[in-house]
Amino acid sequence: MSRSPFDPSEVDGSLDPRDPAVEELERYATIASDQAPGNLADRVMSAVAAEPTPRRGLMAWLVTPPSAGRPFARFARVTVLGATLVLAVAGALYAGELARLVRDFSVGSTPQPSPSITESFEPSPSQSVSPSPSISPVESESESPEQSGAPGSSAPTATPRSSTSQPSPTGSEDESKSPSPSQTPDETDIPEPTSTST
Amino acid sequence: MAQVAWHDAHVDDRSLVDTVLDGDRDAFRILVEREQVAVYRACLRILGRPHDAEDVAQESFVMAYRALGSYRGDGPLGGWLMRIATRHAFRRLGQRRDAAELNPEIGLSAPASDPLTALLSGERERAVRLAVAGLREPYREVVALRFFGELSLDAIATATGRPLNTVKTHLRRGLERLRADLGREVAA
Repeated sequence: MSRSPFDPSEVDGSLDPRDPAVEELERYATIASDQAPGNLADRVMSAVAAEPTPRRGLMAWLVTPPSAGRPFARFARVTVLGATLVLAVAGALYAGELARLVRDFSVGSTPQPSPSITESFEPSPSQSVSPSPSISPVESESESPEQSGAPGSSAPTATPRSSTSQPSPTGSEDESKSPSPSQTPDETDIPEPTSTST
Repeated sequence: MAQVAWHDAHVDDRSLVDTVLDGDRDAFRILVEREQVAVYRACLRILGRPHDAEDVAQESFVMAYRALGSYRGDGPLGGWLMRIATRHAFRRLGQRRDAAELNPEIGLSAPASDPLTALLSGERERAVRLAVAGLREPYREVVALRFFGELSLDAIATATGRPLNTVKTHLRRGLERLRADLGREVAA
């Protein structure tokens, strides 16, 4: 293999033809011009035999370990890998959330009264003890049509219950639980006295 | 698999690479045999030790094989390969300088009859190697590719993806710095 000596005109003639740096480099390059050892190709091929077939394009760029001399390439590769990971996680989360919404929608769309139940539940989580308010709307809803549909004889039996249960339990139990239970009995109990009085 | 006539000297780099990527490892041997002298010499000029140069040349070919899929084919494969080899050689040189120098470098020139002459020659070669290795990037890369890798400035511009005038400027500045460094070394 013949050497191709440096010509100062390669750099548009701005270099001195007798530049000492060029002379030193040329002299050194002439000295260090050994031939490659004969078995280098065999060594390379035996090392390559253990390697998997190289991949093309982006996968090759992502999989190949970056060289130490290019910090930006390393940074870009880490950035791309990180962004891919974040996008994958975000996509999975979004897909899960979407599936949950679809499931909730399909479950919640068939029975109609579900919004009223959810409304009655919303204030109750602040109480932490809310079995009685949650039960009472069901009873009041189921009982009030019967009571309103029945003659006035059944109405007086309903009013004492509500009137006795309303003042004293709210006074004693509401303080022990929390102030908010007074709201839920009001909403549920108000229709009963009004329906009985009228 | 379609066999390419590898002994045909006119087989271009792109089809050579495509054949390797299709799984034909023997096609890579053509590339190794074609480029091994230039790669080994560049490594030897950077490292100064034949044994290290052989190791680094071999590792550079393996690195090139792994990264072959990222070769875009917009320049000669030799330039792309030389860039990998010079970078790897400088990296090895840095590791070697960090480690203890157990066996000192010997001169690459033919053994002189006079021991003093041989010693001075070895020191001079070492000064050149260290001066080039001490250059900052991108000057070091351009100087090494031109003088150690013996690439033309056009090939360097293609391999590095820089405009030709930028490569010329880098080479000129690199030589200016090298002149100062070598002047100090000689004076010392």
